[in-house]
Amino acid sequence: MDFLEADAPLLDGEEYSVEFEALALNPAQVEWAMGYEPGQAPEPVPGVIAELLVEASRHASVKVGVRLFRAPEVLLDGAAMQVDGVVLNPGDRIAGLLSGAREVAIYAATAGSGVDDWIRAQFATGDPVRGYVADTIGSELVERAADWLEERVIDHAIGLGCFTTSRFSPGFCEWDVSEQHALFSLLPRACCGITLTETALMLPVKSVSGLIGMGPECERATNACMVCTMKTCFRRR
Amino acid sequence: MDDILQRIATCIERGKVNATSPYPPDLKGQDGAHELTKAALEMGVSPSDVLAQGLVVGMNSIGRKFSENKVFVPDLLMASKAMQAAMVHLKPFFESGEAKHRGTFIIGTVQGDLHDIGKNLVSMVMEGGGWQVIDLGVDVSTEKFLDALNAHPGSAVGLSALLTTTMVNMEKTVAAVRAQHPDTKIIVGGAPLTAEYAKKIGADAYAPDPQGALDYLVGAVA
Repeated sequence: MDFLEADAPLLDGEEYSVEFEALALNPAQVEWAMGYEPGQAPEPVPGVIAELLVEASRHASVKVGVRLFRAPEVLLDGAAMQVDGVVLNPGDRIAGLLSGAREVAIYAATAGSGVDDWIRAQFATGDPVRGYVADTIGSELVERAADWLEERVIDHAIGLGCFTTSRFSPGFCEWDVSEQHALFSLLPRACCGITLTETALMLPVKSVSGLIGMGPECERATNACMVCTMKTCFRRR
Repeated sequence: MDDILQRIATCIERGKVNATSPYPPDLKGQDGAHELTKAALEMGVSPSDVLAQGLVVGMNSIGRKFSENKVFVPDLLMASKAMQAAMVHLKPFFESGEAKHRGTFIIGTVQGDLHDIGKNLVSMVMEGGGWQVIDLGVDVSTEKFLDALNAHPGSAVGLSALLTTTMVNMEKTVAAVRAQHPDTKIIVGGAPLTAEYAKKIGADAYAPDPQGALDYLVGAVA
């Protein structure tokens, strides 16, 4: 499949290439992802972040794919929802937050296999700090790609006279990660080049997937961690 | 003697590898873990004291701060680098038997899971805590854990997983280890795990962080 340019309108079933620069990933975001307040990471971490952000831009191949489903393709039933005949079980909390949704966006995003290879190469230097910083940059890069997609979903929702929910992903809150298989069955085959292992691990590893609800009554959680029950999550704030 | 051991502990905790390393800035130009450990041994400090009163003290301190969210993963990694620099000098004493590890710890990420950062952090803290670590890597089968236990009988075992789909593989490994080596201490850890789940699958402990794994094992073998 051909990838569309980033400034193209949001189209059902399409995949988009997003330039590294468009994601505006900055050192403060990487520091925050590691747990530090911006500017508080000890030396040599800030220097490593600055160096590896430049390197990451040469290895990233960011892609985002989306499908849009609207009622009656979307049916909500208690803790489960049915999208185009595929049953998803995101759990009570997420289903509750999706209860006013008339349309859902199912998406996947990846930083590309080049980023996975580059992260492995950084660990192989024998400097675990470089490896960890590279890994964090890879994670943040794909989260920023999902942010990029979410902004376009919000624009799309506004066009429908709707609001959006937060992003929800298998593996977070009460949504079991094994549901990746059902979620990906709703996306184009090998969406963005992402494949799933038997244990629902996405390859490339630096990939994310999920859904966003749209409806006149939908709301975004001000802090998604307040909704989530995963007390030991590494992203919890 | 106490002074140099304290300085070694400080270098470990602050990630001061050697005299040429410019970090942390306030220790620039000073000896690091590499030089101080060598000097302590040359002064006649026993390798066991260097380990217990220098390296272990430094790693315990940074490990505890990590548990309390006062420092973060890079701080722990930098401390580990300093510890490795010190360990170079202690290795011959471990090989000769003059210095002894607290025990052996076999660790791996369970079958089907490729995540290794958490596992590696536990390995580093355990090694800094005086344990010999056998790191089996990622996507480790039950058979591989059993082979390692057969090669190193009496070892403790650590199982790591980051996904709910792979943490279920822990149960099979725990059962197989229990069947062949019933007295083995087994610790499990990883983002989706809980103490309740650890108990359910028959593990001895759930470690919420690397220091938790070390603290449990130190208590278990004391």
